[in-house]
Amino acid sequence: MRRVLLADRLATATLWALALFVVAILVSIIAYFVVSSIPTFSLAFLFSDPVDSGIGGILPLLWNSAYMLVLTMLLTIPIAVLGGIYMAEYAGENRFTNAIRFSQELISSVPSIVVGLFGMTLFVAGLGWGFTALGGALTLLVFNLPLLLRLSEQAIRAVPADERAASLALGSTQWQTIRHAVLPIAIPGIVTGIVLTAGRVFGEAAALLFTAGVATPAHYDFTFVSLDPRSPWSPFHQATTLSVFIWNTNSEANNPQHTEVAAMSSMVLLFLVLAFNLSSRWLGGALQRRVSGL
Amino acid sequence: MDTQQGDVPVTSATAPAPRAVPSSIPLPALQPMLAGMDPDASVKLRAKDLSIRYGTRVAVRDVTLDVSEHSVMAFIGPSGCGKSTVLRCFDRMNDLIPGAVVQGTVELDGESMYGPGVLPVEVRRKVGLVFQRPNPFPMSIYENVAYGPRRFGQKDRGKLDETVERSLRHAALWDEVKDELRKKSGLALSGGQQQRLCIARALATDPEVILMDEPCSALDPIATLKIEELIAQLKADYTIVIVTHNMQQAARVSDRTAFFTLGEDRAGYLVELDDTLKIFTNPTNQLTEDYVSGRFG
Repeated sequence: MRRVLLADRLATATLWALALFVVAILVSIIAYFVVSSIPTFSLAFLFSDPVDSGIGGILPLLWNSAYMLVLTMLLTIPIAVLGGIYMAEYAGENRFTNAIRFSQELISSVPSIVVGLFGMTLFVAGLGWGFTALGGALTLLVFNLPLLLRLSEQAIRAVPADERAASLALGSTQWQTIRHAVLPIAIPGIVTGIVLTAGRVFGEAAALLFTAGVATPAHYDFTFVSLDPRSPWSPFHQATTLSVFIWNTNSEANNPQHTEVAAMSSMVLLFLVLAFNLSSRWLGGALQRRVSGL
Repeated sequence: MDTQQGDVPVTSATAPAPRAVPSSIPLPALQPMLAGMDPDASVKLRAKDLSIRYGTRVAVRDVTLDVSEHSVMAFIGPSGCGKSTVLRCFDRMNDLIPGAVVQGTVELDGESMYGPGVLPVEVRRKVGLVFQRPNPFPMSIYENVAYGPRRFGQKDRGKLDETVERSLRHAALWDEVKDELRKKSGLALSGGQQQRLCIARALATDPEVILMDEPCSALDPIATLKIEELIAQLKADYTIVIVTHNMQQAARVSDRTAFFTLGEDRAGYLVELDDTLKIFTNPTNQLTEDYVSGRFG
């Protein structure tokens, strides 16, 4: 009996230690960038243009990261969620759906640099778009779509069969059942999927190097709203994101203060991802409260 | 007592039977007699030569039975005898199981439930189903009850409020939840309250028949008693079929009892159907006798 209790305590302690370790990694990464940013950081960094020499700012890159996020998610979410509904509720198990699932897994494991080369061949060179936000977003779609589709399907499948039966027994059609009984319960799972895929948009550099571009933008005129590639609002503007900028700044190292610029940019990126995660969770909760009438 | 036929215009098998019974006749006293005497007078549900297969395995075979309007019929029998399967045929819920095949006829008010052109959705609007495990939606109490009417296109706030209150009152839950209709989740209620919420949710769609699939098997004795009292009240307005493992429950709530068992071929079948009193005191079939006296099952 003593040995069993000892084993129980040991197991608990080990799991605690592992969990603590994971949290410690996260905290130390954030702490590292915060500490190394403090000497040079000011709010002006967020609202000014990048410079070749010195600290400058990252406004256009923040804009591009947000722009890529919105554009990519606008393309991904509807297709992935509807596809997930189809796969979970309508498709059933057959050769066709097995082929879809197999391709999903395959695409998810293709290295992003390879996907980036594919995007370059197709959008940049093939269609002659050059480096564009749209080309980058469509390239990100290649691995974001299968991921979110899979996660949505799983979230929908996880809804207990009881809920479906209850709704159908009340005389609802299958679509009404999906829309009003299944989706509300699946929302938190789908939101988790969206957060995961969105995180990849913020963080992805390799797939965007050859598609959305690497050139550091000098200055954006936000009053110029047009489809013209020179407008920051256009899906055809070259959209170097913050992560690509970090990679570029560090690898070229032309700027004598590149270390500080990269560290501060990394800190901003981290907090951006964190803020996005928290706000999506809040949004998911609010959405669920709304549909459940509570 | 055949005067019943004179008071209520008894209809042919194709027209819907009248729901209202003259108020001068005390209902509880009338039901057993009605059910016992002339089952054809107001047959609400009818199964004829009903067999259900899952793939090649026959689950239930050759069930023929009538359920009179405004009566309670109990299905009893050992596990696996197909009583729930038969119950779910009356709501076309077997359609949801891949490979399930229903043969024979099932009629509601004399009209086939499985005929060409009959939509399962239409059948399920006339027939409510209460499940074994209480399964309210993870929504407010109000939204749970309003779920059915909303799906039928009811948007009028006043009418929804009215339906929700009426259904909750009918399910004897109103007084316990009326202050927290929109604030409390259906899942935050006790098991017995959840099951009454599920009954209210079914009543809100204004069904004619209520099917209950072992509605008390997950409940404690007090909650069970409340559901049984509720069944006795609901009988005045609805036709009820209840599957139960609990023979005392069948004896307490039902007018007629159908005993199912498993045949040599592992398929369930209907052994005996009679007035509940007769089934429990003087059954015709030896198998029924053995089952109700506890010698088998």
